[in-house]
Amino acid sequence: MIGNQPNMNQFDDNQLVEIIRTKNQELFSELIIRYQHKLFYYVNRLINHPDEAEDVVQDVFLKVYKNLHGYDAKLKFSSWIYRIAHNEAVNWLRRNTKIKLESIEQSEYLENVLSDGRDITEELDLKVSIEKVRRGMDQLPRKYREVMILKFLEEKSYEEISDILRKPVSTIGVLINRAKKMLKDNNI
Amino acid sequence: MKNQRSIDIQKQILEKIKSQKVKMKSKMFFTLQKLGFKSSFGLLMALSVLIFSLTIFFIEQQASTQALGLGGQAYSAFLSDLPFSWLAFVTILVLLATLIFRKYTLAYRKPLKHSLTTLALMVILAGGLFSATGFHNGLAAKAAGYDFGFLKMVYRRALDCDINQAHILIGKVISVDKENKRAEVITRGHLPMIIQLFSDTKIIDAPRIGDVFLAVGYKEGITFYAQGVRKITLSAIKNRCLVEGKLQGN
Repeated sequence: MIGNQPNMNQFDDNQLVEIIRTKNQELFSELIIRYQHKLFYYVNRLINHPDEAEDVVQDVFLKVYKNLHGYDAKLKFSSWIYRIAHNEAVNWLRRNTKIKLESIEQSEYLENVLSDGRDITEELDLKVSIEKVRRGMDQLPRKYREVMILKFLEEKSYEEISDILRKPVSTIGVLINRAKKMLKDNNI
Repeated sequence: MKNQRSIDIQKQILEKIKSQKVKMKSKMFFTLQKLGFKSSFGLLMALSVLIFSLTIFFIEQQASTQALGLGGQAYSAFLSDLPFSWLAFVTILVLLATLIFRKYTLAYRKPLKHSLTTLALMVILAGGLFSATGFHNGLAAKAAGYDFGFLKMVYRRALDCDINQAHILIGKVISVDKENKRAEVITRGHLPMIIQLFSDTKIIDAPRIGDVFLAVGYKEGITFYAQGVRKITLSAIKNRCLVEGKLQGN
């Protein structure tokens, strides 16, 4: 099945989707390989529940498979799949509001950002520890946490975040600035 | 780190796909969905344009529009006369169209006010152009001939013969007494009245004998004290109210 498939690296996401839609549905496994870890980390960062995150990601892929013909190539495929993952994670959070959120896991990226002297560090206190940032992000309201995760942990552009959250690009900028200010005001 | 945990869900998902527990929705499904979106959006926009042009038509037809420029009372009469329910209807339609537009396109990348303003301007422009075609005049004239029916219901506001309001009088000049600054006039239903002018009465395009006029002021008995008077031209629809002395709503 998958053993006879050509080298998948030569195809970008859009080409792969087109092949799955028109010729070979079994190549869906390649999409799973490409995105399962990214989506797992993203969903887990939102819901802070690794076991449940795995189930949520499974649901995401099933939904992606079902709606593959509905994917519009005007959008980046990664934005589309992250959008579905985001919706599923939010639905899970709505269903499980009583579950206490654990802290957000830090990423190497965040660590780099903080020690890099990049923009965020200028706005945050350079002397503070990663641990404090982690706790600070954990305390942020969900709408701010979402954009911070996508911007600084998932490394998405403003336009991609706008596509994932379906919010105007300008709003994304405002949310990120406010979140940074909140972190700063909380002495992070 | 907890996030560094590895997962492998490929097998479970492929099993579900193979066992046909999960099926890909057909291309036709999404084509029809897109078509549904496009037609609802188109329909909402067309309806908005039609109703906005109808609103313009109603404003043109209302007598108080011609009273503008004759003082404060004329402005308040004009404002109270505006077809607010129709304007509210258009606003709701444009809002709905905007929401559909943002849901099914990439318009969400821009702020809501951007899409809303763009669509509202499109409706205002297209509605203005459409009202200039005389489409509503034709239909209203047709509706005037019916006793009942949908058209009559829609154009009721324009066909309304209640052209005289608390502070507005419309009629035809019968005779003019320049010395005493008064004129004898007949109003709807051929009711004779006296128009009394003041030294500071604002007169725009002074009406002569036989002319149709509009006066803004207040009424006491059969005398109307005018703060402003102007010669006007009634539309065919409204003129029939004066000429035939038709009753309100007929």
